[in-house]
Amino acid sequence: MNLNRVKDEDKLELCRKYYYGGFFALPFLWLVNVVWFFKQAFIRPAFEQQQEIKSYIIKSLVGCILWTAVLVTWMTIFQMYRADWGEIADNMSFIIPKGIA
Amino acid sequence: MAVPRSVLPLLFLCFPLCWAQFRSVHDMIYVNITAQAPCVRLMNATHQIGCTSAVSGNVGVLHYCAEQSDVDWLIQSAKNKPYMPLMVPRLFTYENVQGLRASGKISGILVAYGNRSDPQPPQAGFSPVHKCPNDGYGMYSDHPEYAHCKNTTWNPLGSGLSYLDYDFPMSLLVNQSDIDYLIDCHNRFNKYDNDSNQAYPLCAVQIKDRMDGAKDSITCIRRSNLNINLNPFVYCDALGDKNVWGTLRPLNKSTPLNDSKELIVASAKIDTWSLFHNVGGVGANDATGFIALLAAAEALGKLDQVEKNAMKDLMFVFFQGETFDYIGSSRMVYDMRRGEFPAKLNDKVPWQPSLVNTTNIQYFLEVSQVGLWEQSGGLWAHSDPVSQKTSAVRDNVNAIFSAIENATDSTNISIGKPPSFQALPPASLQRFLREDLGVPGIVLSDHMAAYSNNYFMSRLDLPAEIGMDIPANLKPDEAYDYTTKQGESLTKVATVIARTLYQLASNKSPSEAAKITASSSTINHLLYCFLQHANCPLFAEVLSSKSVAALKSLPGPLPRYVSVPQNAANQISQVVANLLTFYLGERLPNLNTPTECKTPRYDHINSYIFMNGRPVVNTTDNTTSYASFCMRASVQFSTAVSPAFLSNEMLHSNEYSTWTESRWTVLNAKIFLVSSEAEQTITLSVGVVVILVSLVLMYFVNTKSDVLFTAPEAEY
Repeated sequence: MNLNRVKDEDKLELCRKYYYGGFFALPFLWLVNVVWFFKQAFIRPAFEQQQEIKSYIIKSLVGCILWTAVLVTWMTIFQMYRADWGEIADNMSFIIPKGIA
Repeated sequence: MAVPRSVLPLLFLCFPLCWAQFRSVHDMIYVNITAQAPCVRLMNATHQIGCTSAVSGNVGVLHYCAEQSDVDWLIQSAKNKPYMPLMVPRLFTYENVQGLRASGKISGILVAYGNRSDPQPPQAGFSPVHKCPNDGYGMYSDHPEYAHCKNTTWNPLGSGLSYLDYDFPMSLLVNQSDIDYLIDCHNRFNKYDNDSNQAYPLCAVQIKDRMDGAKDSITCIRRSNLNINLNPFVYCDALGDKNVWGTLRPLNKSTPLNDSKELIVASAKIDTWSLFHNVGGVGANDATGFIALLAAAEALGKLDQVEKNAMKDLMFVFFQGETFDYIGSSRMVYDMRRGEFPAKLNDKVPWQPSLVNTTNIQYFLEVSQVGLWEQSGGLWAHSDPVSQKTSAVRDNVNAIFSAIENATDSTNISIGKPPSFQALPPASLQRFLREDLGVPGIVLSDHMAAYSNNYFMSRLDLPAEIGMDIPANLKPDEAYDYTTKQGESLTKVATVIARTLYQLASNKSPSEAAKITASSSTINHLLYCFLQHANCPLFAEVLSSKSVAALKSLPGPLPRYVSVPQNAANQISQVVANLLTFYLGERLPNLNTPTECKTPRYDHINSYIFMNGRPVVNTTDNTTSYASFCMRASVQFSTAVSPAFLSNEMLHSNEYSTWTESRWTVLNAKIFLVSSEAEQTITLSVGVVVILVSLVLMYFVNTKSDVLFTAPEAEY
């Protein structure tokens, strides 16, 4: 969809939908939201809905960063302690590497 | 851009051609090593042992080690690491392997198997297993006096090399042409790889044998049973196979053994192990036990039926997997104690053997290594001091000993009792005594204390070490019949065993037992077939025609590694079962085809085996046919898989063997020339630079295209 052809109120509607959608454990949706509406929120000259779009984008960005932090922390911990956890870790794994503990 | 039509077929033609071109480039770079016996990963409940390569294989600069100085140079001054030493057998010792490993300069080890006639074993002996084999799984695991071989170190040369965990591959090269090629490659390119000169390219080797299982049996079995993946993956398999057992006279449930203690058991183990996977022809002295027992079974099988019927029940057992913490015997005892040996009684089956329990055993005679008795001053009868505190057991043990004594008197072998403070050596009997201290038994061996065999459980326990040299100028059929020194001395041992068993089973006088003699030609043939060439007349006679065909391609003897359970028994167990059937059974001349010679469904006592027979040459048209025949004997297989794998509790119990073998998917090794790291870096960098330059160039060409190219006049 080319944003240039969409009316500003529809843009706000779209941005809001993406923002709420992100709460269903979909941080990538937030990321898309941020990238997609970045120009609208921060670069384009002010327009009526800009403040609201901007707040959605900032919140999406924060959410996305939080998610990333949590995921990276978990992945690091899991990779570091997977072998020690034994059975629990095996049950959490979808693919178990071959040839290592 | 439209491709002219004429080019298209050319393109299609090019694909296979280009691919073929690619293959030949690959072949120009690499030379495959045709045959190798890798060290593979095994696991028990707590450890992993053996070797593995990295996922993409291990590469190292080839270094041929013919002298100790070559190994020392690698450890001390070699600079182009990682190296892949190719060692002669003499240098593959615990100290050298540990030294190389600690130096961090090697990525793998290749060992030359050498010519079979010239294996050059280390003079001081070589045993890569523990000093106290199967420690913890025998009957003394927590005995204050005898545990951990406290009184007697059975295998003092044991280095434990096989029981270490290596993070690099090791392989035994079994093809002389591979070894020659490697040495040649080393001499041409790597000889000057010394302190002053490091001239590239160098000859290098890559080994790829990544193991799938890891950590321990418990982990890898758990992972194999996980059902979260769409395509479940098996990481390891429990070791195991089939025990072979047979009785001189059929056991029948119509005359149960329940209360009587009148069964005589004669046993030996058939399996052995070497660090290198499935190498045939190892464990020569290890094999003397079951070979002597087979010959004794033949001698007793020849007795007439009336006499057999008057004797006590006599059972021959050939255990599999004993090397790995008594797999075969522990399972048999487990089944016996649960009333499931040979099989649970079933009213629907009319002909079934009676149940056998450890309590039925009156005498137990185990034949251990017996090939080197002449060097150790005769045979030795080991017995267990703990169980003999009971007088009933002591009396029966003494009865076995005096029967052996009588038998040795008549054959000019001396028999000795080890000092009384000594406990049993590692033996299947220990598993019986572990569960039932009332089993009176003796282990017959060629060593009083420490093993006489300096190459115990190694690939160097070779026929030549036990006096089985066959003159090289003999034709195969002459070599087959040739009486070696070992053949002569093992015949005497087999005779002793046969006479002992006869006397115990029949209660007859020693002079009457003297009529029984093991056949020396049988011993010669068994030694030749089991330790030199499995493709031999005896095996060809007793196996099915299909198994005979499978042996044709085998250059040497059959491997005796227990391996993992398949649907059918291992080749080696199958051969032992057929031989036992051949020796104990009767011919059924009325059944002349394989389809007629089938074990009836109602008969669980006997096995019918259709044997290939001897070749008969038809003189009129020079064709060969086989005098096939049908044999019936009460010989059966029994499961030889550790009870540990029957339930999770038993797996964790430390009571039973928990050995598993890791699976692997790729197994190959190749030789190629490697350039220096600097040269490799330059090649890569130049490539990257060329790409970048052309990208920039294209960018500018593109932006200036209207200047550079004059558009043709519009044609549309």
